[in-house]
Amino acid sequence: MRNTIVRCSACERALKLPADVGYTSLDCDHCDKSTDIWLFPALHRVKNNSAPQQVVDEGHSSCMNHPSKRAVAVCDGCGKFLCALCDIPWNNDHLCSQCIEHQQEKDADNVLRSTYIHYDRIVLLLAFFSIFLFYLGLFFAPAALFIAWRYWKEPWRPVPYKKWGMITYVTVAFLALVVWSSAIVVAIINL
Amino acid sequence: MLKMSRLPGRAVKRFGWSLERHQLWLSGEYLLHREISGYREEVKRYYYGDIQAIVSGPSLGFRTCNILCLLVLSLLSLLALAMYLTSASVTAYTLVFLGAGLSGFTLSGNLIFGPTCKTTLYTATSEAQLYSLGRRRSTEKAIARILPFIEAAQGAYAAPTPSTEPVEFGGITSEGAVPPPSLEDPPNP
Repeated sequence: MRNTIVRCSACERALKLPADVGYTSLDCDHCDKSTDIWLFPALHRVKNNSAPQQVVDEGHSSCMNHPSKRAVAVCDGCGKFLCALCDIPWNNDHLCSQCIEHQQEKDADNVLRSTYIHYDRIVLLLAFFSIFLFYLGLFFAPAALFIAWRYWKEPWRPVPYKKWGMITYVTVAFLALVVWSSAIVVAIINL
Repeated sequence: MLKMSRLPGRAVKRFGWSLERHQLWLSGEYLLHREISGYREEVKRYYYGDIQAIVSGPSLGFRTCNILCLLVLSLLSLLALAMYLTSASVTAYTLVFLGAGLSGFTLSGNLIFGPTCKTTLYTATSEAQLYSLGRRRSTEKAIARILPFIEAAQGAYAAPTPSTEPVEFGGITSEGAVPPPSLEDPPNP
């Protein structure tokens, strides 16, 4: 764990933090700009057992990934013994890196996901093209419908959202498809 | 679980060719920092238990914008007045007046939104600038909403006291020998 250096927001120089207050307004020694600082107990928290320990004698259990290190926790996902290095605290549980990966795959709450694609906006753009790009709508409208079907269950955003927008865009794309298909059929019949 | 809610403040930043929108959301367990660029969005979650410090200081944006707008406004206003008095074409001085109006509009908007600031959040492993908290007023409102969650997760701030417990580095403690592990030793699976 690195030592946190709190910097002045104007000149980026390190600030001398007060030891006894949680909130303070400090003047920087270098640029004299006043900076508001909120400090929290985590700043002084020391993580115990941050370095893996050696096995002392035969009676102790060892880490499954590092046999020479002493186990300090049991993985709540798979039951593996973990040393301090392999132990990942997660929501009051102790997990190994493999279990974290599995968790990521079936991440129901999406708390491990860091990238989201706004599929509803892509469908909106394709639905827009399907209306205004004349016969090219015959390509864009099915593309919009396909994307909506394929990614319907994917999370589009990390925050609460409604699916009404997507339903509207899909309806527009579907109508565009029907209209352009009918227009082509009518044109062929007339020919 | 608390429903997520958006915190005050927003920002649009240019990174290379792309524009990024920045937002901050409050959840029951973490602070969510959203960076939205086109159809793609990157998020960072800062758990309340991990936040070490929040630092907010003034930035130059407010003053610079005010000086520039005021300068452009006065120059264009003088020019428009001179053109009006010298009976220049109506289109010309209307355009100059419009330019002056635009800079006046920007100036008044900047004054209404208030002073700018730069807010940085520190955790043990990272320091992140919260672009959405770029105005003093929205920063104060947002931090007032974040603080109870951090205090609930970490407790009230207390001055660090010299620890009576041995601090351990690589198996060697300040008291010498490595203490026995507290974990029961079940057989290897």
